Amino acid sequence: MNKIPKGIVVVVVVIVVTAFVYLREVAKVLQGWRPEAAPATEVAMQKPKEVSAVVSYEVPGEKIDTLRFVVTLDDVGAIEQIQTLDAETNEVPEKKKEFNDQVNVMLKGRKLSELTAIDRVGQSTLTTNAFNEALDTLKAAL
Amino acid sequence: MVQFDFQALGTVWSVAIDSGVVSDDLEAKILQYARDFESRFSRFLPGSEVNAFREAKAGTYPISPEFARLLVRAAELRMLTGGIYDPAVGAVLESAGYGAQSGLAPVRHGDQLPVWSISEDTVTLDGPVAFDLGGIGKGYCIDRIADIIRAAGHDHFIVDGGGDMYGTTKADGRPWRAAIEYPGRPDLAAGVVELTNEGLAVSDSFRRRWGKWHHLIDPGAHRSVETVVGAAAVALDAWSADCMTSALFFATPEHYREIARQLGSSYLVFYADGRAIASETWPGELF
Repeated sequence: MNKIPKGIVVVVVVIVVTAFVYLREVAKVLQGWRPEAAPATEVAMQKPKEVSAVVSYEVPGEKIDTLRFVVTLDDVGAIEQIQTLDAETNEVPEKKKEFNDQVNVMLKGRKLSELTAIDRVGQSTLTTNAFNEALDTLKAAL
Repeated sequence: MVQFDFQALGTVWSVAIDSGVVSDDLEAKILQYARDFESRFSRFLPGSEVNAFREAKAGTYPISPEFARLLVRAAELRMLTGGIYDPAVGAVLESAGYGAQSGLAPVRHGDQLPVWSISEDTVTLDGPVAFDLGGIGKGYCIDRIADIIRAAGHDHFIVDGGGDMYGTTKADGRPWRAAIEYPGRPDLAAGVVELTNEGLAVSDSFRRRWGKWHHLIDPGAHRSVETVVGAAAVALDAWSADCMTSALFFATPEHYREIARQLGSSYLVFYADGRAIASETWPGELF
């Protein structure tokens, strides 16, 4: 089964949240580095800055995934942008997801009698009941 | 392996417990729960909790904790499907010819669905309401029976409620293998899933066109290819899977992912032309 155990999801969420909180603290600290308003006309300028942190997590049985958080600061140290990217592709992960999230197939079906080691058959109750009731009528019509 | 079957909620249930001695007491407890559940939540029984408001005036009424749990979920599904799924349809189904004719008082006429809301352990209505938990009740009942079996000390079992089910693993750790019936073709399987502490629900829409299901046997009948004819879902419990299949019939495709995410379920949707859509997370093979 490729289900991600809840424990892993919790760990990932903790890492991601911690990373965000860390970055926000970093950003606050950077903002705090803004010099005090100097008398009259002088205001010290900073260069626009980009800081990033990479978080990686491992899902058992699957490859390691990495996310890159990028915080962009403008020339007075205010946060301009926060981005979350796939660390390998530097793309927003969600974009890829949309193409892959569904599988479109034509189903032909396979004879139940040909399948091996089946314990149960998942089926719709009411239709099966109705169909069984109709079988007598169907047989009589043949 | 011990297996016992019984009739409940209008179908044949089958419980298989792999390993351990199964006491008669456990079987009795399971039967009792299923019968109680049916008498409390079947819309065909006049004294059921879901029929308690057929003649009610607008107002707020206390309800049992279990009814509240079911209605909270139903309200969630109503929201996720944009209001198209709504259990307050009991009267509508009856007027379409699908219901108990046993002298139940008519609810109200017209196409307007009653307005209702749930809060903690009370329900608020704008008038008489007949609730139909047919789309979500069975899954809930399956899970509660699973709880009863677990509480009796059995870890390896499968509870099959007439086609919807919940399975842990077999005693040797292997999953329970369930074939999924091809909609409308009882002799074919559309796929196989292996259940490991998971619930499976399989539903088809034929029953919702009650009176028109003869299309099954009429090869000349035209059916729109956009018509959803069946749905299946696998989730961490039977209730979530059951809710997922119901939602799939009532929601438009762009909402499937969101609903699946909320319910923690994977899904499979069958169309009339043999095409199927499966969520990325769908486990098992498809044929």
